[in-house]
Amino acid sequence: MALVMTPIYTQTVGAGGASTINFNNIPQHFTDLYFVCNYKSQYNGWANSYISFNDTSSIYSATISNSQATNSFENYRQSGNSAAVNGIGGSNVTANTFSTTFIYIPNYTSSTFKQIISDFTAENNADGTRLGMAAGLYRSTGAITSASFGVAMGWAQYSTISLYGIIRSGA
Amino acid sequence: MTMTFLGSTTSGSSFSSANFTSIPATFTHLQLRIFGRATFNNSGFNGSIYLTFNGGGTSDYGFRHALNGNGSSVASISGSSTGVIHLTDTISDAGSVANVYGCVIIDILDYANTNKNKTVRAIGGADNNGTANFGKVTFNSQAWLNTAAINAILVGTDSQFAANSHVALYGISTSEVTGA
Repeated sequence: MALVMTPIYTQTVGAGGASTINFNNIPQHFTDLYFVCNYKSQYNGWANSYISFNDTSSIYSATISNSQATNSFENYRQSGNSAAVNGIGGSNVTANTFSTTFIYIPNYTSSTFKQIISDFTAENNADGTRLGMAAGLYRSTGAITSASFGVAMGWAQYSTISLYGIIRSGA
Repeated sequence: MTMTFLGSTTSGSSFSSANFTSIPATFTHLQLRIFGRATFNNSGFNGSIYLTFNGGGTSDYGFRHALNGNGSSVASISGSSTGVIHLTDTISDAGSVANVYGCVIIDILDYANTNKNKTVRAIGGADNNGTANFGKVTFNSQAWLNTAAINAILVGTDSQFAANSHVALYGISTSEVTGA
C-alpha cells in the first residue's frame, strides 16, 4: 500500500501571539489528516491544548494518559466543545523551548465519527514535563473542512503547526 | 515529496557512529530512522542512542525525559543531562537474542529556526521474542538548549552499532501557505 503525505498549510504565530491557530478550507481529496505541532502557550503553567472542527457544539471527548515526572503519571478524560490533544508548556518552561505534538485523524471526510490520535512531549529543562498520548472523538458525521487549536492565554510567538494530507492508495 | 533522503550509514561490520554533516537548512524538520543493535550488553536494558549537534560542547543539553514499558510495568524517567541527547532503551543490545534489532524514529522539529531551542522526540523499542527484561518500548524527549540551526548530527550508541545496523537521515518539508 502506497502512502503519500502532502503538505497543505503551515501556520506560524507572529509577534504578540494568537488566541487560536486556524486552518480553513481543508481540501477534501485526502484520506487522512496529520498535524505536526511545535508550539507553546502564553499561560504560566501546564495546560491542555484543544482542537475543534467545523461543528463547535458539545460533541467532543478525549482520553489522555501521560507522565509528569519520574514515576508520576496522570490519566483523565475530558469532554466539551473541543477535544484535548495534549499537555503543553507555557511561560513556566525553559525559555525558547517549545512542546511537540503529532496528531493523526483518519478518514476525516467519512460519514462516521472521527478519531483524533496524538502523542506529545512538553519539553522542559527540569524534572517536570509532560510525555503522553491522547485519543479524542469528534461525534460528527460531517466531513472536516476546518480545524482550530486553542489553549489557555493563547499561543506564543514562533509557535508553528503544519498540516499534511495523507492519501492511502491500494497500489 | 515531503521526505527527502539526506544520507545513511550502514556496514557489514560494526561501526562506532553515523556522522551527518553540512545538513542544509532548507527543510522544516529532520527525521532519523534507525534500525540498530548496540554491541554493549546493558544487562537488562536495551541500548541507548546518543546525539551530538554541530560538533559542539556538552553544556547545551537539557534534562532527559522518557516513558517506557517492558511488558509488565510502566515507568517514567527524568534525569539531568549527560552532555548529549540521550535516548534511553531505544534499540536492542548485545544481551538481546541473536539477530534481533531495535527500531527508533527520531524527530527534530524546526531544526533551523533560530528563535527556538530544539526539541527531540523519539519513539522506539525492541521486542526480544517475549523474553523478560530486554523487550521494551520507549518514548523519549529532550531539548538542545541552543537556538542555532542544526547543521551536523553525530549518532552513537552504547559501544558500537552491530553489523547491519542502519542509520538514515531525512529532511521533511512543509508549505508556507498562510491565511488558510
